[in-house]
Amino acid sequence: MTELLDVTDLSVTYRSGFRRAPLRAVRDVSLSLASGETLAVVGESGSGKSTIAQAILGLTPVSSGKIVFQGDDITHVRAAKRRQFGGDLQAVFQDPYSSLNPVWPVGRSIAEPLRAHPERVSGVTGDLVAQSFIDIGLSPDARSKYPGEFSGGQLQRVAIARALISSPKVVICDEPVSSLDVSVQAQILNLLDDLQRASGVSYLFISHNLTIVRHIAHRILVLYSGAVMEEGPANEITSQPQHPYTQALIASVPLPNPEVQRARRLELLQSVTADVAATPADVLEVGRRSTGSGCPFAARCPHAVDVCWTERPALREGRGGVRVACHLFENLKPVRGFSDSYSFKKEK
Amino acid sequence: MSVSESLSPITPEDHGNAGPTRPPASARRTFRRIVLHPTGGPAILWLLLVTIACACASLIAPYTPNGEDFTAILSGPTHAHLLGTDELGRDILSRLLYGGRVSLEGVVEALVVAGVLGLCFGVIAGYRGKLFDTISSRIVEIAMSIPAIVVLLMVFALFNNSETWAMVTLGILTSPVIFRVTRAATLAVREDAYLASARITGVSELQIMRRHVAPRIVGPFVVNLSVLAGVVLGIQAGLNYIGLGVTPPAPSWGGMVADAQGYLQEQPWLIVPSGVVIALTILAFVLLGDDIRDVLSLRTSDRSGRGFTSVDQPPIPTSTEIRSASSTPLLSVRGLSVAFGPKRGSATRVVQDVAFDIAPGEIVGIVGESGCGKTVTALALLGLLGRGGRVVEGSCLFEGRELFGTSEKVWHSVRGREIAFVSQEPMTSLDPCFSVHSQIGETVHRHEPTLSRSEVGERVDELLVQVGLSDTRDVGRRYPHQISGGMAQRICIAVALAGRPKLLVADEPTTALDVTVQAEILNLLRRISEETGMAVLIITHDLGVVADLCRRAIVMYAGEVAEIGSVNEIMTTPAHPYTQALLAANPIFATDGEALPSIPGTVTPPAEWPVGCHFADRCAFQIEACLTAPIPLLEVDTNHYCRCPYGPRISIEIGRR
Repeated sequence: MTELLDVTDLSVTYRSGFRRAPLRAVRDVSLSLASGETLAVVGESGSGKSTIAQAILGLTPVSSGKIVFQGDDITHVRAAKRRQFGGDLQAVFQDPYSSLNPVWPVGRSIAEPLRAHPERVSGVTGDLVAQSFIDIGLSPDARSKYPGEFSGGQLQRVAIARALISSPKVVICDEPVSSLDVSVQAQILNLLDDLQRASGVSYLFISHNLTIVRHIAHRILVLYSGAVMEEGPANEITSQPQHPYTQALIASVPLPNPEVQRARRLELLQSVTADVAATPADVLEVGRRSTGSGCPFAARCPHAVDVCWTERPALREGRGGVRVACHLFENLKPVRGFSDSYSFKKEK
Repeated sequence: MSVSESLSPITPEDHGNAGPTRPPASARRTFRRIVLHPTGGPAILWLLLVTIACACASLIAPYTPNGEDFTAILSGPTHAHLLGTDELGRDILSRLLYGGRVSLEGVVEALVVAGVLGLCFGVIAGYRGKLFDTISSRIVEIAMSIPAIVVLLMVFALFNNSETWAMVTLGILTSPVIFRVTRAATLAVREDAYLASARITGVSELQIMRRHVAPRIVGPFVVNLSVLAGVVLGIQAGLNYIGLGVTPPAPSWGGMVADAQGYLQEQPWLIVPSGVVIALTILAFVLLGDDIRDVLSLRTSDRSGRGFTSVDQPPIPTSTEIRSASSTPLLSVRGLSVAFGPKRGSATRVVQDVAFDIAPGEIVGIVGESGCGKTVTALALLGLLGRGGRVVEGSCLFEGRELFGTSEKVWHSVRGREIAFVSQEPMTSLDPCFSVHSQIGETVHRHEPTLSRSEVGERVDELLVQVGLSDTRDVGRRYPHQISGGMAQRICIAVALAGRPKLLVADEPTTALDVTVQAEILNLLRRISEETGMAVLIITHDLGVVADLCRRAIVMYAGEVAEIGSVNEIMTTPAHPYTQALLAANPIFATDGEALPSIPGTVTPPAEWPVGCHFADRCAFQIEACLTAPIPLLEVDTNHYCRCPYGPRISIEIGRR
């Protein structure tokens, strides 16, 4: 299968003043996205997941590494040249309210990619816009309304329609449902899924929410402090996490069942997370201080041994087609992921 | 004197032009609103009148500006000379009309220069940022510190008393005002995601500027330009007054004031026409600027104001009396209704018929989506509804004492000491100017004023240890920008604990935090509650958080309690269709390859609440009876209440499927 998007050893470094060490937001991240696939990039705030999206979209300069899109190297492509493939690479952002020009009727916003790429328009622009409103479950009459007249969920639908109207190959979704309520979130996830089935578009889905990612993604990439911790099939990673960080992440998600949650909580207390508050470092600070010689997660890892501080673990093959960046993962006690703990559903 | 210093630019925030929820711009409607504005209309009318009259001076002026009539010197208003004559018998009206040309031309020249310079540099600096921004901002700062009058005097000397060159210079000197405004407005727009979307799509930078950026900065630009016009006119008249720019006997407004001053004793009237015209024109410019700003901000508030228009709201249902779960509840809320809005008549209820109990030491969760009245309910319990909001009905007994309707003094003694509050945004709850130690210390001192300095210090350390920050010296010395979000929330909890409260109200305390940090904060709240016997009311949208922390849960939907029960009942045998749907929409229950069961539509806003069930329009089990009458809260089981008479049966039906 040919890869649509191929990112190799991507690094993004932000300089932060004369005195302070530069912030290595993304370090040597490689990922690839095939046609019709959803790859989720998961991590907490400061993990660099949004920076990866920005680098691919050309919104932040790349320090080193290579981004290849449809066979072309786009790592340092200037804005003017982006025009050529701009229709193939689109984005949906977190805040639906700032994603659309507030003084434009939404129909005009949706049509903007078509106006920028008249060569991609097959038919009448107006018909395409009307059809895209139907696709996202809104009335075509809504096109003359302004963003202020819609709810957050509806606006996010419009933003999705805008991203998909030029029939792109890849859509980068940067936390597209984080600001939405649970019931609306489900609507949007279903919409993204339906549109993928219909058009074969690929998603790079950036999120901090593992339960959502488990549902929507085919593959997951877990980031911590700008580096890949674990990468592999979504089901495998969420049901049997192998990296201590992924284990901590999954164990920390509270599930809506008190019995199950009590058991998970005890497990969490006994095993995984180190008390972060006891160590003064938050994720950003770790990223700043870390020189790249050791494992970025060592400071918070309950299993850390000497080698973790001195040698950076490479990604190695683990169980079930998963690749794990940990010196010790083969020797760790297996931890319950989502699949075991959500079995209460069947008991019901 | 420095011109620019005396002008404070009206920032885009002032009229909310950069806000994300701005409704559509309709230039025609905006113009109509300005014209219909009580001061804007007259201002425009006056400016139009003056401009047209001065432009047509040669046609309508009864005399030439320098035509001397020695038969009528210093005459005052007469039939021949409507506004009187000056010391040489020249007609004041004619001189005003001709002199106005100079003034208005000068204003236009200065404004064009200031506008073009300020706009171009401001937009580029705001949009491009980086080096251009740094350099141009420094230049502007230097320009603003140059005394304008000195420069103007030099220009008059250099360019042979040329009015035009002086006005161009004035334009350059006042352009920083426009620069700063446009730069700020551009900066605000630049961060919006739709610009990124356009850039990704391949829309050229020029197009982005023209289509997306320009319309958003027009508002602040025009407002400030109008105010600047008034200032420039004032300066221009001042220059003419001291005899610069226009050489007498050529007429000018400022020069006429100077002439009149010399004959103030003989003919006091002489100063009136020129003085009034200058004052009115300046006033008109400034008022016009203010009105444009008012109209633009009115546009911004359109959306938020919409909720307060409804007068007739459906009646409140009468619910089953909720029996206390414990014999002596700590807090007992009954029939709570909260309304927002200006007056009793036109207020909109946003919360109605809320009733629940909290036992001492119990952890209770309020769960629901945004706009369901969770936070309003919590704020009502703290007497913190703020402007426009008030409790219209209901009672709130805290240890048997009624809190609603009491004075601010009583609330003051309750807040912090009896009921404490932790908010969603830990970072904004802390004052960036004070260290952690002094912030907690201040609260300790407020609650226990008798403690000595060292005793306060000990108590602060004790609180820090209590919230899991054992390295008290290191943490205490830090300032809010030196701590992480999780640590900030711990410190906020420490502040809340300072008054040894019996109930802690936590409004989405973990929503802004990462999931691993959330787990720690939840554990912390649980531990503190166990150790101190403090009850906790936690507000959240995450059913997982409720399952983890709470013993009982209150599910709210569109301002009402939909269901109350033990967490176990709510999660495993939910009675209300909303609770069922909310649980089902959680992706953790999703089956591979199947669509998530979502709830169609969105939460009904308070102004549009129906007579019947608030959830009916989104409910899969809706029948006619749901729409006709208000639905009361009914007892399903012991201490399990539900606002749906069919809920329990539906719940069984689903279970069978």
